[in-house]
Amino acid sequence: MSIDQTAVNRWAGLSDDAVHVDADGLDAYRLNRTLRELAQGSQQVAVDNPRARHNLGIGLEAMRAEIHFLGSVGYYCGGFNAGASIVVHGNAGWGVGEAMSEGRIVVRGSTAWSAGAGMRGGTIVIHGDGGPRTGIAMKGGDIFVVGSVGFLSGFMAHRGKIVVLNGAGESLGASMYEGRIFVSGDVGSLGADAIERPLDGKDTEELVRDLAVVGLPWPDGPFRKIEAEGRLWYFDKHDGRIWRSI
Amino acid sequence: MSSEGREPETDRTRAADALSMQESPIWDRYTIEEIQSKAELGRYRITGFSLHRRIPRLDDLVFLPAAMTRLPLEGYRESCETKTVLGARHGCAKPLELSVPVYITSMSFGALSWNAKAALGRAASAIGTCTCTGEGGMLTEEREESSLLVYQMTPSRYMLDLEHLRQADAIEVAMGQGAKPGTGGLLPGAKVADRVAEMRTLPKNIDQRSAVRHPDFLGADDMEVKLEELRIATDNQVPIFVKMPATRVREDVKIAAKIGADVIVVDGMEGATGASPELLLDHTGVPTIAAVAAAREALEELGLYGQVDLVVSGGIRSGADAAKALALGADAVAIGTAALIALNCNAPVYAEDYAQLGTASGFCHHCHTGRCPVGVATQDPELVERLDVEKAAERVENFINAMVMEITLLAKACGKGDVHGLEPEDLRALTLEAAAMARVPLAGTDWVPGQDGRF
Repeated sequence: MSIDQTAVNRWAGLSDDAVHVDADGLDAYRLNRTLRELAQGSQQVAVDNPRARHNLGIGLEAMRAEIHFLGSVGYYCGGFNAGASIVVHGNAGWGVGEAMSEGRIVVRGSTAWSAGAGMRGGTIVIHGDGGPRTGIAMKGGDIFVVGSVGFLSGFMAHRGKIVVLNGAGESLGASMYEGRIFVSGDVGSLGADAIERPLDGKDTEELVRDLAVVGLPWPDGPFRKIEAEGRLWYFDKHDGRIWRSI
Repeated sequence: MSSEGREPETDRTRAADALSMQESPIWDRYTIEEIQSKAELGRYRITGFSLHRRIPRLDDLVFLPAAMTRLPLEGYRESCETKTVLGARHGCAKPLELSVPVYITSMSFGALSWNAKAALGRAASAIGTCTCTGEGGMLTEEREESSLLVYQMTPSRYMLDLEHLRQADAIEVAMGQGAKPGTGGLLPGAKVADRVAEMRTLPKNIDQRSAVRHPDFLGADDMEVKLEELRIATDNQVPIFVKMPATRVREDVKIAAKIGADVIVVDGMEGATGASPELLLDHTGVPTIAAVAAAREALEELGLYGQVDLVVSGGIRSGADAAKALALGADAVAIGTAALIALNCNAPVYAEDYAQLGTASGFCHHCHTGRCPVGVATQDPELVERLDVEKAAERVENFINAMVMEITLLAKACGKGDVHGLEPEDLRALTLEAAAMARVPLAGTDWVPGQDGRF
């Protein structure tokens, strides 16, 4: 059955001259190569039939076109992203944007576990909910989540920022270094060594600017800032009790 | 009472005197010291190096060189192939072509100094073998010095991105290490200096306990997808290694082979480390001698022996150790501590500095303090200066060359024109334990404990 591409473009908010590529029949290597080729000559490249396949759009570098996956994607979509702009018109499986260093990934739906795992830079915007361990081990960059995030989000975050507009699950921000979490809405619990600190004027300024850039509304309730207290950072003998208790 | 007011010496008091200086086998001086040290610290002790107890080892095996039934090669006149290719299984563009079956294992920048990393890279390049980054990220000097560099991906994912992935000659997904299985890396604050902190994105001088679980895969099914992702990200140019500590070797090796590893690295309990809770060194994992045999059997049972390459590490100290590991089924061995000792670890220089650590050359295992007197396991610029990269690289190169000569000497004596021709049949065990663990007959018998139901 042929697809009315104009209708698809309208639904996805793409321009009429978006170039389409069918993921069916292309393995992940060939799909990547095709994306790079097509991205030279167009502003938007749309991938039809992603069918929640794993490893789509891996290791892409900065390119002229924005890549649109028209449907849900499986594990590690946009993994090792080094500058590409990717939009997922659906949900994303585990590890979307993991090890990303630059670029932008927008997920219109929700994400499964470990979105942005270990990312060093760039931005991920999740319009639905982020799953458990969102932003785990992240080293930089920003993650914005319109919905909530699951348990252990921000676990061992070294640096970078997670902004959540509608609540978080258990053990938020456990065992972090210099990662920062701004969360509005209910929080299940704070993780080991996570501590709430008051927002200062600069934080608010930063959030206002960030949300305007990614086009998200200011939430109804206030933001809480979660950071590491640093009690797990040193082998101090008095920390033995803290270590034993977690 | 005697006139001097002293009790006359009796058998009983003589026995009491002797007992008064007899060490209890349960509460010996080490145990007492350990308890008192914990009582002071309020936590377990942390130390560097390897285990502190005797375990069955490759030393408990001997070769059966050729005599009447087999024909030896002339040791000094006939050649013996040492070339070793790793990771060709999935048709990557550039499998690792090593000139010898020995390479330098993963040891992080952080645990080791920049000069140590550079020297190891230079030595490996001179030999024509590879070295491995370890978990601290890819050090510029190491990349420049190493013609073949394996890039390790650990749970902490320090400095992991496309730029660095594409600079790698192989990717090693680390699932743990033999020294401290089931736990992440450990880098005491004294070593988290400026550059280390920057590369690991950490606050300076914190006592870093790295993650043990990977952040974006848990089980074998996830990991299979992850290995494919790494292949796609590197456009299938380089092989994918999976490194694991030797614990449930048979099961773990089968899983790694099934989910697509090109090379499996099994690290025995003798494997050393820059810092570990002391108890893990002595009480976790299985010996290398047991790990090799179990790994080989696992691959044989899958019909993948010879396709998935097997690397063995953990306490490999000599060509004899290496040759035995090859005979038991390894395609290559990886050395860590041996290479550090060749660099200068425990060399009899700077005696006062060893003394300051409460030790002496030959005994030092104080890598965790960051005060390494010879500049190998430290981030102190003055100490690092002590390690001359050029000279240190030459020593490691010499050492590996010597190891390879030892391997070929044994191989040729066993009649092999290729070191990879060594086989379990070339070995006999000196102890029951070694016979059972390595699955080779006890010397003088045809008995392998447990084989064919014979106990």
